[in-house]
Amino acid sequence: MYKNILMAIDFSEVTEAVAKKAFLLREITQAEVHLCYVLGLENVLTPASYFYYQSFDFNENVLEPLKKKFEDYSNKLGIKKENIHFLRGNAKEEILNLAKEINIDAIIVGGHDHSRLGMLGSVAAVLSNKADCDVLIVKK
Amino acid sequence: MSIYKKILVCTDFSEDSLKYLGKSFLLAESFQAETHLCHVVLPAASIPIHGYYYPMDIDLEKKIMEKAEEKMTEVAAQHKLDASKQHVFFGNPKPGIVAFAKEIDIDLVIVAGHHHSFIGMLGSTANYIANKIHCDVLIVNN
Repeated sequence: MYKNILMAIDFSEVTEAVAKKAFLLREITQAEVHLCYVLGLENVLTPASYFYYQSFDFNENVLEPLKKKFEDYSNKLGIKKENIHFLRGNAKEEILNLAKEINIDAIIVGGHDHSRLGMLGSVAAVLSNKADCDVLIVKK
Repeated sequence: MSIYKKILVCTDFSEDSLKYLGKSFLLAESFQAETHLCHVVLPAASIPIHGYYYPMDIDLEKKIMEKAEEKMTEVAAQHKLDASKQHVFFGNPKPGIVAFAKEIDIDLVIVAGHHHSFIGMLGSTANYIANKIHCDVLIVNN
């Protein structure tokens, strides 16, 4: 039924549940599991120029550890090297583009409740609205 | 036993949602879960615009309900579903489905997210369910 499944993670509490459900789906559909993490570009922007420490190296201090964490996590789950995607940019757009590019049939995403109103997170909301494929929203 | 024990499939008997029903049941079956099918009838049809409107068709609700139940039996027969797992009820579909899912302790809700508009947004019921429900939601789009 599904050939390619994309799990979009953010290393929050819900990530474990997302992985659990992605592997359940893989078990029953024999699909290929893709893993993606999107780092926003705003992480590099500084609020004001004086904020920018001379000695602060973004690549060394933020990007590399994060990439390593991501790769370790994918190894832990046993996902193939060519199926992991570490992206930079707007999470919503990047995930939608990636899903289109690699012909994803189902996206699995955490929809953790951020607010007391119990609404979806914005990424989950945009994905469920805009994606052409099935979307499984996982809650804690 | 899989992670999902009870699955609720929601349908409005529209063409789109019936098209996705086969896929929903296939998925639910492979999860080895207990599958429920529900349809909610909106009472708006029976609300009179003016007082004098009312006695003209006092059985309208009843007729709609009967029709929905008939359709439900037909669809359930196609998918070999017990009578105890078919649910047709009266109410507002959005809070109705959310409350019903909580009541019978559902683990996964499957809804068709058929695109109503040119912008390609979700239907309002699917959107409400995804936002408000306590469990996982699968939005079926293709």
